[in-house]
Amino acid sequence: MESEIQLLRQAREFNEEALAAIFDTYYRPLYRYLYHQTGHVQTAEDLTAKVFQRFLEALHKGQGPEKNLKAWLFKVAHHLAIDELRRFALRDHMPLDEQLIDVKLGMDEHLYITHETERVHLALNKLTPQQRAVIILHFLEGLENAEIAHILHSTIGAVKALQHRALATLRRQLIPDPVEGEPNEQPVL
Amino acid sequence: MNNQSFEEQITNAMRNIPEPNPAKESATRATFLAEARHMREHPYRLWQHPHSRKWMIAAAAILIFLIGGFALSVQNIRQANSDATVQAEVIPPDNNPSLHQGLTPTPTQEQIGASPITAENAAQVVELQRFGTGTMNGAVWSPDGKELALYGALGIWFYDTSDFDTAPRFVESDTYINDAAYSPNGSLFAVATNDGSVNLLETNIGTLKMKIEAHQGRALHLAFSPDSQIIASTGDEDKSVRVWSVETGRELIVFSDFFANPMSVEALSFSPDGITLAAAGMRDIYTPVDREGFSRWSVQPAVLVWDIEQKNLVTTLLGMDERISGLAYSNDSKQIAASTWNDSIYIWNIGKNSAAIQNEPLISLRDSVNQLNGIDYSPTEDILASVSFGGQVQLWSVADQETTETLPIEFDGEYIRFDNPVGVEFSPDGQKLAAWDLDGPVIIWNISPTGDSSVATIIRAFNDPFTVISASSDDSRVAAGTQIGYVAVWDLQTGELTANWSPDEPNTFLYDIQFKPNSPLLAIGLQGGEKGLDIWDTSNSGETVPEFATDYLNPTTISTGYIAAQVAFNPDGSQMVSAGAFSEDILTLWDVASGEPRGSLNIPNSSSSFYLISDLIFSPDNKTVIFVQTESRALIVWDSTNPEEYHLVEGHSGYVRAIAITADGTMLASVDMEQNLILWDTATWQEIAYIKHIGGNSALAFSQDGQLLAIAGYDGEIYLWNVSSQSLVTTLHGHTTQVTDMVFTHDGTRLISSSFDGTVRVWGLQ
Repeated sequence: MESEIQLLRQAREFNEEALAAIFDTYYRPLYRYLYHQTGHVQTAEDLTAKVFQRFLEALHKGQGPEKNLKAWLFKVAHHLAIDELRRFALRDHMPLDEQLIDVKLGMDEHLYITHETERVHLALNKLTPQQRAVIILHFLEGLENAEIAHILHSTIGAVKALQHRALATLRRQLIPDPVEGEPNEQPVL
Repeated sequence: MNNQSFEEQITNAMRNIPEPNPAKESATRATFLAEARHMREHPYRLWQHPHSRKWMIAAAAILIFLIGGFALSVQNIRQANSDATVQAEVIPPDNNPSLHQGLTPTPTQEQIGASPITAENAAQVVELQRFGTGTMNGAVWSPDGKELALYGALGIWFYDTSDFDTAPRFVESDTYINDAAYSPNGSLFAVATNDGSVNLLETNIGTLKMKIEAHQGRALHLAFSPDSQIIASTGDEDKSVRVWSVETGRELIVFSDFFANPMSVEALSFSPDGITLAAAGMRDIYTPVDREGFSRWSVQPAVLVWDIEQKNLVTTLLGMDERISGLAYSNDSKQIAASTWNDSIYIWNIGKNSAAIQNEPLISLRDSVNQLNGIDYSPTEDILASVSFGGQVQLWSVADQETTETLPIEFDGEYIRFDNPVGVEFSPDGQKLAAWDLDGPVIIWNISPTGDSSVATIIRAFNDPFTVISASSDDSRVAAGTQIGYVAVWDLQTGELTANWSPDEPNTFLYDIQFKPNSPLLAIGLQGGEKGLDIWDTSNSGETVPEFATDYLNPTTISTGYIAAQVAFNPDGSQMVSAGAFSEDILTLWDVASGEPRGSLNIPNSSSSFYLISDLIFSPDNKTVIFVQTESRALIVWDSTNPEEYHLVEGHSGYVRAIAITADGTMLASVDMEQNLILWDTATWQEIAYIKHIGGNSALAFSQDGQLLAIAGYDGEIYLWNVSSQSLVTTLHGHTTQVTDMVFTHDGTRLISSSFDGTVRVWGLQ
């Protein structure tokens, strides 16, 4: 935490090394978050660039994060994603234009993983933006509920509720109903 | 994988996403650091600081006041002069959905451009025709219930509610309207616009009474006081709620710094008793000790209620776990209701004189279906109406805390596409309810106290945004398609809508349309319809409509069959090439007469089948097909006479967004996401020119002589470039938001453009 505060102090002075470190630390996580929210590589890239632009503008005006840089950046990213979704209703019209195959895997594994990954992505796509945000930020980016509550302008209780409902929705989407007479198997994606 | 927990499996799947483009990441990093250097060298000046600026503005205002008052800059909102100029129409419910004729008068033959557009005369190009009525944002009833005003991207349509079949009175606006309201005494109609102003119109004559420069950035919401003496407005960038004198335009009160960020003010409402004003948004809230024992600041959805006479905040209503989408006072001013982006309506009791504070909601009504987008209280009954994504419109009994009726979305069995309703409002007598959808339709119900409400009228006078266009090769007609699958065809000579097409099924997505050369047949690429590659005879010509044998083509990821993301014909129309969406067969060449495939391009062991083809051209040489994919920096050139032959043309640093080829096929233009343009010699595929930052990239079109290139921008402007001198000739202003597609007519006299503003515009020389 101390090092982050120090990093922020240097960033406020537009120290290039500090800013580069911030960029290198957060570009990919922010991109991941925005990709999952918008479902589109270029949109995610553009919005990630915009997050950093907002960061600089805030610093320039003497504003921006005081302590929790990560939460501040994700909060901006969340706003941008919500605005984007509202503007273009991307959730409803998102093309599946992603490259989903790991080139190191064999073709059978490609097909399997691609299929399973797509199912998860499609299921995520059926969540509300807030629910999706909670799932991504908590499970993928490892943020605490308090941090997520800050990002989503919400309370910890509400975040927990959102997470519970999101997981329940994902389970409904991804886990097939048990066949009558057979025991319920482990979840299969 | 099955040994992992469910959460781990989800997390692993989420990790498996496309990597960002390293070059773009590197460029973003460089730009970020360069901007930082610039900012370090150019510190933020004192007058730019919000607090300093506030004082300076205040000082300036006092000075202006002292020397004699305010100067109001009034910009005209033009009123269409007669019904003859207005062709917005109401389609009776029993008719098929249709798109609508132009707002502008049908041009005479003399008005239609007679000379080809060239680089030399491009500066004289003007808008000649406009088709489509634009997109709509909302609706509001007049206080006497005799009018229903619908406002949208192009202006305001005042409907006579006793006769919805009569063409509405239209008032055009040159700025985008975000909100509108009648004054309760009925004398004024106010609009909040994208340029930050609040415009007051005289309702009886439709002329502008006053333009208030209300906000920095956009003006988003409006509310009149019950005595019609003051009007309140919210802005996005300045995060403020401002209260104005309707008589003088003078600012009476500013409530600023209550909201957390520029996009956070969501709704605004005056109490019917005129005592309080409520605004909904995201608010910084300080919690002295929260449930985990920490004191902290957080940003939460909140409804702020101010006492107008005392000019102070009297309560902050909390307890919601999602952003607020709608806000309404009960008729007796004793309750406030807010709908949120999850699925709840929250209701608070407001004490006498609004002073009593109860910031936890009294009731939380839960709509189990979907995200709520808006609410309204009945003016006569203890009933709330709500709309939610998916098209559900419900009535709620506040006393019983339960839904009493889900309103029908059909009329005589007719399917009404109403997927994205975003607003709802009761008529002043409470006997009718209007709800409106982002994709165009406005439905008006007769509300029944016995729970059997019925659809009274459907207004389909508005378009979904147009995304693709195609002109017939004889230049007699132009077709335009919208994302949800409507296609309209207009006669370019008369300006009349001659045909329209809509999909049989809901949840469709239209990718592309293309006229067959020398024919009225239109190829349609669609997802979610009965066919993913369809042909429509736009003029019932009787020409044989080919059936394409798509069954054998294997879609990779979608189980709904083959979907054509792009279609293009060769110059004589004997062949067609289609690009499959999510298909292993990236390109398929068809014999149009028989509908049989002649060959396919399949790139083995490539992940490129997961990309969409975003643009596709059949070269005038009859054999070469050039296309680009959504996530690629290269053009792919395919020799259709030898399906195994393809090669990449590289040169762009960003993903290629659009391509266009000259009529003689010798030069091709491509533009990337970074708005850099390359002109290519198609004989050698060498670069002729590389032009940086051309201003747009959403579509390209060459004039017939190949010397003028039209470039479409996200801002609604069209840039016309001289190809030889590589210089900008002129900019065409008209569309209010992103231009999505463009085409020059084959005689070269007109440029046709489509836009997200819901219009198709024809440009040429007068």
